[in-house]
Amino acid sequence: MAVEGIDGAGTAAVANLLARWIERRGRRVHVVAWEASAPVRRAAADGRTRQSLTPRVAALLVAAEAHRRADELVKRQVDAGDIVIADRYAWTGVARDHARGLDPDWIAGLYERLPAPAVVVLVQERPDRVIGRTIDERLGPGRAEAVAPAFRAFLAAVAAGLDDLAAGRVTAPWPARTVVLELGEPLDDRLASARDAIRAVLDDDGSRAA
Amino acid sequence: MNGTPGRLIVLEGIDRSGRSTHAGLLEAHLRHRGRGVTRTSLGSSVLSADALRRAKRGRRPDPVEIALLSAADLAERVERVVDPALRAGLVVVADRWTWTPIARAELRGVERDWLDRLFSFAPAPDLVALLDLDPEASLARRDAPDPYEAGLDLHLADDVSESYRLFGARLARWFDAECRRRGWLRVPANEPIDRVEARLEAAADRLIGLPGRRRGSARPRSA
Repeated sequence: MAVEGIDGAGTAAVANLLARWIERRGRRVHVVAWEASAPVRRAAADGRTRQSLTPRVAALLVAAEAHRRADELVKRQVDAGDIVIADRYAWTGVARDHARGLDPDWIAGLYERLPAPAVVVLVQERPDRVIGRTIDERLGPGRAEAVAPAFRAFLAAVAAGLDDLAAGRVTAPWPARTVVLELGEPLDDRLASARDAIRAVLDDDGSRAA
Repeated sequence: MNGTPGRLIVLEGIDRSGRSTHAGLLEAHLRHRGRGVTRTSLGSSVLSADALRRAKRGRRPDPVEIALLSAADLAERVERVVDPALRAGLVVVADRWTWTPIARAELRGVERDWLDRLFSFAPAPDLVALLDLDPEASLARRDAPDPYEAGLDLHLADDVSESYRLFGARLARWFDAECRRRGWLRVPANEPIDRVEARLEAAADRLIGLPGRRRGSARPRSA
């Protein structure tokens, strides 16, 4: 299962709440934080390599790392019958690359060979609510004024890309049962729809095992 | 034609077929005849080449990860070197292009359609020459094959040289089929170096509209 959303949307909190709920139903769960690619971050921070890090090169390096991680952190656990909840997965990569101007069909292809999640939960969030905190966390305090307009536009494009994926307006790497946790509702109400979708998947598992 | 004033010439072929030697000779020939030339080769990118090497040497090399890193390596060179050179009207001589990584992945079970889409960003070459070499001859020309390039992960044989022989034969068949299907120039790589060189130079001259070299006006080898 995957929980997707822009930086600061609270995907980690949602992933952990869902994990505890699944554990109470007797299944073993691993929450995997799908962090930003370390080599890509290093390349972006280094003036000598930054110019080589075009959107397409970054997309390919991130997708390659995702495949390596999926082998280590997802496939083995799923093969053993456990449940993996990825705190962000392929959709976030697709939406980010789309926001950088790459062709969405080509991007979706980069991820279509990853294990397909049974459920994708999209946690919606407004970029202007999280942008200050996100910039402080990523770049250190005091940078918000300088980079906020560009970063706000980027986050808005990523958020729109995620909404497009959920609505089927953009090619997703694989078909998946999708739940959108919409803005404005209390978290517990929002999670109810995710639990319903997950319950259906667990029931399917149970009936297949029987 | 690739839609730019430049020309893209690709040399493909299995290991030790003489690609890099002939890429260098072709570059020298074209420069001698007054053309601006840029050369590029597989695994020479700034950002992606190290990751590609590490992935190939890993305990369990994943052909999908390696295909993605090979595409990153090519994308970096296309965007930083090849596209600007072609737009500026230069000749680009590439020591391998999309086909070597596609062949290595397809022979490990990765779907061809996915690989073609992955590499679809790469400009189409104006000329592809296959340096055609028997895998036995390739093995005789090299010391210790790289385990991934020898196909050791496919468990064709326990011995790396035997694996290389078997995997090399599959690669050679793959390139042979691609060469027929796409109408590439096939150049037997076991012929004397001067004959291989002459065939490549003649094809490159035809492509870029240079008149053929007259007898006795050969460029000195040291040029």
